[in-house]
Amino acid sequence: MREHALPPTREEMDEGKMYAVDLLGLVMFHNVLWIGQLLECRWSWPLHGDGKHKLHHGRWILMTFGTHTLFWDTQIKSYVHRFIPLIYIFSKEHETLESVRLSMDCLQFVADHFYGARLQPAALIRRLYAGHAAD
Amino acid sequence: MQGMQQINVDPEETEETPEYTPRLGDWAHMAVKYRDGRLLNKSNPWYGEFWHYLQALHLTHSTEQMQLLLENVNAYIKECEGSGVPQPGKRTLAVLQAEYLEECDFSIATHDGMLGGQHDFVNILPSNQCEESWHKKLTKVLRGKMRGSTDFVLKESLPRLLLDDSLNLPRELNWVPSMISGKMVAKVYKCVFNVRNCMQMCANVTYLCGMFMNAAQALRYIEEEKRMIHTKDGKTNFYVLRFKSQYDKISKKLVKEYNLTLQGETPADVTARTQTTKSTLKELIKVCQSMHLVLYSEHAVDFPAPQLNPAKLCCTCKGFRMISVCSHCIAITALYIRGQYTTEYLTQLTDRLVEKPKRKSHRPRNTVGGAHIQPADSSDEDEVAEVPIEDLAQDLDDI
Repeated sequence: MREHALPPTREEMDEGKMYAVDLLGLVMFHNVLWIGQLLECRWSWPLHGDGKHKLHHGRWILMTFGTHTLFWDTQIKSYVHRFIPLIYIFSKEHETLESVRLSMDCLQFVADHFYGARLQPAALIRRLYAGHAAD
Repeated sequence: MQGMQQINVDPEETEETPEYTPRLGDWAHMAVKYRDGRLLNKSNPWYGEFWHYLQALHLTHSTEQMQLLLENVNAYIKECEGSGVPQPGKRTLAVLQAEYLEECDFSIATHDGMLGGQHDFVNILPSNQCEESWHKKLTKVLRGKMRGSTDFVLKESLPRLLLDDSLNLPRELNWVPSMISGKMVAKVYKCVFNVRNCMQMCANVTYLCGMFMNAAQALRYIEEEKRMIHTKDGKTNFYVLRFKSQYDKISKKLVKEYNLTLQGETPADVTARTQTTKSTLKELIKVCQSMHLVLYSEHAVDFPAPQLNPAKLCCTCKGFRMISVCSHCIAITALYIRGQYTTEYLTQLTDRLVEKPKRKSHRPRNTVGGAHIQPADSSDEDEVAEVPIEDLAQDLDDI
């Protein structure tokens, strides 16, 4: 597992290698690059989060948290918002508050580890659950 | 501070300075659920009708306007429930109301023109559609690859997914829509010859780039300025009638009514000319969706403004919220904002784009009967030797 530990600096990261964060989180070099760009971003940006159901490993689903970027779609000939994953998390509890909190901790850990700063999304966009208002 | 709001709080921060992160409900999930009958049973007698109301809620122009419509929708639901009409299935209007419309976590897709609401973001649509689209790709990449051993999943499947993202997604995040690229222009040249045709193309096919469409549509607004645009002093607030509006012309009275709805108040005229809850709701939706408000973003958060929106105008339409420029902003900039581009610039821009290209003929000309005599084919003479007629007659006699 040590071979997948985060290196001290991002210059030491291997572009094609996967790194583990708190055992369940996964990041690569490009994710760290995007996190760095978001830390420098002066516009408000959202944090999208969702889990991919129906595609699980022993009921552990893959949850992703990330933002979006403007992208010119050549097929439909217009601008679209394209999802940019910042961190991948394996979760058995699906999108419960605890698993979301763990994901956010992992994400902030990566930001703090490489850049010494915390990410500050302007809004959280996630699935609309019945009864979430009472969370 | 509740729920997901507390997630992004710095542990070092004290409770006296809580960080507030709005939670925006996701319209994409809601729409799909409704389409599948998971919010309201498809056989419900009000199924089709309430879809329009939910859409109207989603497209309201301010938080206050959304609350106003929501109150009316809830009142209408009570009326429907009280009417005694049977609603089959478990998913009834009462359930929809209790789960989604009373404890309102509904987020609006348009920029909050009042510049003070919690939905007041540019470039942030309350939709997880982008992530859902990414999930589609995920399904393709990981199909059948999550069923192996954990070792296989960790060493083969997931690295492949992450590598795929690394290769296919842009390295640099982009928030500002750039101007029209050469490839786009080339395609525009091929299809469009003038602005009118361009608008037909825009209506029929999503063929042109967003910026060009916006510029061309802005010209249409400018052409019909008197009918479509209203402003009190020409400096602050601009009202632009929607092409899809049910009203033919913008008027002071309509603007007044729209302004009241933006502030969450029901116009007295609307109440006077309607008698039932349903007709009031429909009339309110008609007013809410009649026009857009364009205004300066002096008090709003900073946002990435593209080249065609140099004055950083804000609009209450969904297109603006997506790419921070829209046809309404362009038309107002050209007409009223001094020191920026003018109507002539827009005309030149679109004229240059829609210039008729010199086409090369790639089809042969049609044949014209009798105009040319077909020349003798010399190749036949080489291949077939001439036979005297007498010899042919003799052969026939033998037969």
